[in-house]
Amino acid sequence: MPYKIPIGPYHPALDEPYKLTVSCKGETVQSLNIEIGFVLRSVELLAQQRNYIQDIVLVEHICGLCSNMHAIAFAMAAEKIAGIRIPARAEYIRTIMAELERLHSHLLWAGVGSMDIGFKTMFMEIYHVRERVMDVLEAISGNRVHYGVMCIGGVCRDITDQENILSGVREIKRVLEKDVVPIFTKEATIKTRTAGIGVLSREDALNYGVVGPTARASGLANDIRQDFPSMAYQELGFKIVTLPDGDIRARIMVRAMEMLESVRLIELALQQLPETPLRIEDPMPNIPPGEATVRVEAPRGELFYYLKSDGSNIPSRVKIRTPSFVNIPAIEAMAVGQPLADMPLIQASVDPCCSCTDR
Amino acid sequence: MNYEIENRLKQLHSGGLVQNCPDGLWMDLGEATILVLAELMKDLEARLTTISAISIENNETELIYHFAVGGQAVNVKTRTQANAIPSITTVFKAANWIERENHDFFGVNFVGHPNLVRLLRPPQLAEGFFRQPGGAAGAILRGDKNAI
Repeated sequence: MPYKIPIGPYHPALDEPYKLTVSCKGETVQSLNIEIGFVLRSVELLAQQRNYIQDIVLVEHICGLCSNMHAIAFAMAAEKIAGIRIPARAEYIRTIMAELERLHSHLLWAGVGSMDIGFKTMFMEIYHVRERVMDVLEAISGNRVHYGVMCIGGVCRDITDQENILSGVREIKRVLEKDVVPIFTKEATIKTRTAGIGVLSREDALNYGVVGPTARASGLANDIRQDFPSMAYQELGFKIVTLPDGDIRARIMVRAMEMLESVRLIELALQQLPETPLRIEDPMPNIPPGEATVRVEAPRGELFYYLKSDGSNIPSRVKIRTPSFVNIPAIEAMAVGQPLADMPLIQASVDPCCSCTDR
Repeated sequence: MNYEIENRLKQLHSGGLVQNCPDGLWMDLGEATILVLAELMKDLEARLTTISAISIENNETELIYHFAVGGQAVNVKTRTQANAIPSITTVFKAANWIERENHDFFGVNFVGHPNLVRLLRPPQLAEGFFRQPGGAAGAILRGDKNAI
């Protein structure tokens, strides 16, 4: 006789406030129901009541992990409607901030994942290197989480001490290459705990429309930096990471290898930083009537913005589709047939973010 | 590939105008049905990104179906009839939560959805909370003097 176990919305086995109702037969998961909405703030509606300058701040506060990507996507959508082309230096700084944010998000996930696996030494090591990423972000922006660097028409903070930032990035690279990536890709504890668990087949990945590392770990070569290149990705030459296995190990390995690619992009962008102004001259450009969509690759996958302007200083429609919104439903496909004890690790492997999902 | 997508979209209905914009292809669904479009996009191995809803007159909703076919974005506009439209969950599993969200926020009835219950807001509250106007129209309603 199957029985039901409610997990969440607030539960030690969950990293985020959402609710899983797991139906089990014995120790095996038979079906799963997922409920969200526990941290809904109606950000889309609020954004339709504030002006564009206020909205940059508002959308940046949707999430503490990919805050910068929300601000970039919103600014890019407004720039697209207004036909604004931002200076090259701003494109490079946006790319550097985006990749630093990916590094700190992937490292945070790797730390939490290590805890779920029971590898606490790894958790300490990862959080130590993540602090270095936060230091670099703070050195550039003055802030640790919500950076306030993006504006419509460019960026509002420059990278003045490239050598200092580069030395910080190289230190991060050294720890990633020496410890984090080898342990995540070769270490027996992680391998045995994650290989063959929570498999999402390529077909299911397509069906659920998953994005980001979750899709790439199921063999889908789906990355906005490659498919819809913006910022400085085309100039820097982005290399996609995919694996065919679809299990938790593949999701871990994709994120681990992506971190090395992020470091490479940051180094290259810092070395090639163009000498142009930071932003267009007009600090408050008028956004004419029109509509635009923008896709950017946030740490968890494709972040999508639809923006509609009626020509006033307040957007008439702001639609935000975050990567976790499409990745969380796929947990069902990963969990069915798996042992109940693996649920904490399976749900964590998609790196769910309810701040983004609920908005 | 882009040319093939554009051509197949044009065949959806007579006079189907496909605009090639910097953010992808845009078209109006016209007299074609959303299920026919969904089948076509599935055939092209498209990924359903999301559905953007905009509240319009007579309690209807404009829906924009956003797809990605590799590196090509496709955006298709349509309108509800009596605030209802067929569900595309039979074609795209990813539409399940997307349609539930639009049902929750805009009160759209996705006919044929297997479980059209609220997604984000508590069931005690009325549907259609996001139907209030944004932009200048919303500012006038709120008496916001800062709107330009």
